[in-house]
Amino acid sequence: MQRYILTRLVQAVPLLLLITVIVFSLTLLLPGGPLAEFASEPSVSPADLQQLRQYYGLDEPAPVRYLQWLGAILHGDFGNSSASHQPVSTLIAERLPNTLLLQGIALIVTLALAVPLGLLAAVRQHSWVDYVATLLSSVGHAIPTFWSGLLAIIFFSVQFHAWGLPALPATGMVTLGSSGGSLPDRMAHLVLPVAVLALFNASQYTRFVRTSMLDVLGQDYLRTARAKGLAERALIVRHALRTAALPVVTLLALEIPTLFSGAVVVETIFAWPGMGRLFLDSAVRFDYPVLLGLVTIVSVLVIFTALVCDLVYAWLDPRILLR
Amino acid sequence: MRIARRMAVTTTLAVLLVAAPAHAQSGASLQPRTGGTLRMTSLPEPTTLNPYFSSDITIRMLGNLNLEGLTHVAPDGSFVPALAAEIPTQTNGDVSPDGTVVNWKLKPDVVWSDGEPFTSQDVLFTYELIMDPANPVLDRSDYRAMESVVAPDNTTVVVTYKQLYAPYRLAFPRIFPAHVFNARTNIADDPFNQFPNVTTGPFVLTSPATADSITYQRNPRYREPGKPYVDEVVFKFTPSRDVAMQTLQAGEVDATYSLDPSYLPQLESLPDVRVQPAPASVLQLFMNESCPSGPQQGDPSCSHPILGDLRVRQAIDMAIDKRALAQGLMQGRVEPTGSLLPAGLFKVDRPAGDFNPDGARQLLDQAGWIVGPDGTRARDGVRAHVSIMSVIGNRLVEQTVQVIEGELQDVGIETEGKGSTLSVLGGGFATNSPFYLGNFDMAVFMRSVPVDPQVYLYTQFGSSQVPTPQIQTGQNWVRVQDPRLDQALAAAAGTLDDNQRRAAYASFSELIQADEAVIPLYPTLQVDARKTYVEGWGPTNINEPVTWNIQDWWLNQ
Repeated sequence: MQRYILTRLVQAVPLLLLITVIVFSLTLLLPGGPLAEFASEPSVSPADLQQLRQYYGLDEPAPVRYLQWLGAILHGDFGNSSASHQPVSTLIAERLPNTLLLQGIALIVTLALAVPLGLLAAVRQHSWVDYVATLLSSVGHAIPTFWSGLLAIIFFSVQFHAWGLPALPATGMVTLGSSGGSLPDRMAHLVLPVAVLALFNASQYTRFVRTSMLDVLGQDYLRTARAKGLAERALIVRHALRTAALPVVTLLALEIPTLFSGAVVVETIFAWPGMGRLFLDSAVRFDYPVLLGLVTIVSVLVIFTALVCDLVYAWLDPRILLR
Repeated sequence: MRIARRMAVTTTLAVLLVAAPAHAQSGASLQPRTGGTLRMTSLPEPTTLNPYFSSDITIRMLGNLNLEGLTHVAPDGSFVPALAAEIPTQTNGDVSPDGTVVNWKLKPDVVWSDGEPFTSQDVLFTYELIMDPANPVLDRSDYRAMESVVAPDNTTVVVTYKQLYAPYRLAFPRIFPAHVFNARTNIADDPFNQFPNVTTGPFVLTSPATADSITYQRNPRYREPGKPYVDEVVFKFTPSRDVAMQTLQAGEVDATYSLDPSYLPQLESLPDVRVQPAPASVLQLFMNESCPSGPQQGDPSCSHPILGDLRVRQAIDMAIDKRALAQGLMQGRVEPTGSLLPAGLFKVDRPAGDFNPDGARQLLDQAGWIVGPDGTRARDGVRAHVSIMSVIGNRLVEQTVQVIEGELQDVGIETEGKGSTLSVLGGGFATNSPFYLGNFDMAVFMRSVPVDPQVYLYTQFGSSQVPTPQIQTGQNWVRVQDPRLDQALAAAAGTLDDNQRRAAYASFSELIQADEAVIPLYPTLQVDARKTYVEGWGPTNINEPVTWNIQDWWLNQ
């Protein structure tokens, strides 16, 4: 086991290097650059632009810039944002907890909704529960979050406010001013973004749990267990669910990175100061240091979670051998 | 259902429009109340709070709270003294007769928020800071024109220009505290850029911005007694404009700015919200007069096969219904304009070209462009096919291009829309920008109206400003070369007399409209909205973000 983990970690090094090369090259392919927007302003003179180019190190050839950047991150220095001149690590440290909070709670709610619902839909296949769950998950997955997010704000914040009902906060993490910052206030701010994220993801998971469960329910070993007189409840929870969970774990493993990378759309709509928004803002501003820093850190996390997921597989299914 | 709602909203809007002015007058007579917290949106969150390092409107909007300069710009475009005691002019003797020496007298007894006196040394320091090559300053053009900046005493700054510099009043819009930096002028990575806490404005920062908001407190040392009225101003960083409007409706903020004009009817239907839309940028259609391809691409001596003919450009102007565009996209709140300077100190009024599709067809016939069997015109085997470039992602621009395409096809000109990002279109030779290379036909582009239009007009229409690989300066993208335009611009640059300059810009405007290289389509609206209890809010100013008179705002609740 230790040997396996070590091998995987060593394998990750060239992979990470490859990722940084690809990401760095992608920034070179992007039309424009951090200074392009100023070029169209009549007041910014070419002499100033040249000076800015030097300041941002853009006058060096690309391979030199890449090696300089790589050397710096090996020393733990992700450089400074070209837009705000703040250290990239500070920016990320500021945003990461916010994203983890939002995405973590959303993931818990997603699973709490999807697993029982998918299970029920599978066990009572072709019942009304099944049909309702299927309908809801199709509808839920068909509505994009930018739309459902705006609708949720218009209904639960604007209309509730207009009707004099206790309205839910539309944006941000806390209420502005001295009244904000208490635990109930923070929780109220989580409701809408978590609900929008969780409903969207849960609709996908519900179908997945249902399909996976249906596959397992038809298998011989369950019929045998049932024939031996095992209670239906124990049969489903202890024997069927554990097997059916495997593909769900795969899906989850793919989802884990968004815990760190954040949800661009939902964070923008609900003005949630998380990683997704940082990524979007940096992309729009051609803020290469921040973009590269974000992608590198998220890549490390993805590689790490992939490893953890493989270990979880082995635990869930003893037939899987790690070498 | 959506349509029905919209119609209902438009009807209420008409009623409100009549009621609004009366309400505004009654507000002015009230005695301002002190205290309270004003909450506003900020779109998006600022990257830096150093206005010399960014051109972002948000940074200027936030800067109005705590940073001050020698002057600020009033809603009518005139310069008003801020830290200067008065605006230097030749009439009051503060500008030398040859116009090269400007004496700025500063207000005495102004103190920084930490109690230190504000003096001419701070202006000197700001000059050195701007000129320090280590700082990523965006625009030094106003300062490169200076020969020297000296301070004979604590309240006088003498700026000597290399030659007469007409936009001299733009100098030092923000002044930095010298004593905080101990004469250290390299401040590229200084925390002050994120947290400017020693300032002279009506508000001060006592703690840095958090991830989702920034809070300004009243500056007890502000020079105007009794002001500001509000204790605290909080800006909530709201990335989506759609959501910014919702937060105003939901009562999470008291004011918001720079909203999409399509929201106007909805905003005006809200009983507790007041809006003051004002013209802002001008949407323009411009045409390349030079060859769009081949070895002479972008060379003004090689005429564009279609657009090089003045009659074709005139026909295009006639084919476009500017009034319908203004009506449809700006809710009828703006008049189409034929002027590139529809507002501000050097405002020039010119009527938009007439909408006359029949006249356009006749002109094209006369020019030899004959309608072919498929409805598209051609001359000597050349099809009347032009591309229209525009910035993608801007709803207003996209809708405008669609309308124009339809109208041009209507008179027999085949069009092709081409979208790209702003950084590509305007990025210069480094990004192979079609505007700089000259390989484009037409473009729809939004440009703001500058406080002082001299540099803006000169770089766009001066004969020497055609961009070439050798001379990459200049933004004469349309490649117009007309000695009369150069003369008018030189006349405006050669005097400090605003009336003479205005006359020069008027003749410039007439010439450029006759050339048809640029067709101003309509001014876009700046839509700022606030709850009715926010009083003291000045008219929306096209040259300064809405917070320009924040010291006069108060909460009537």
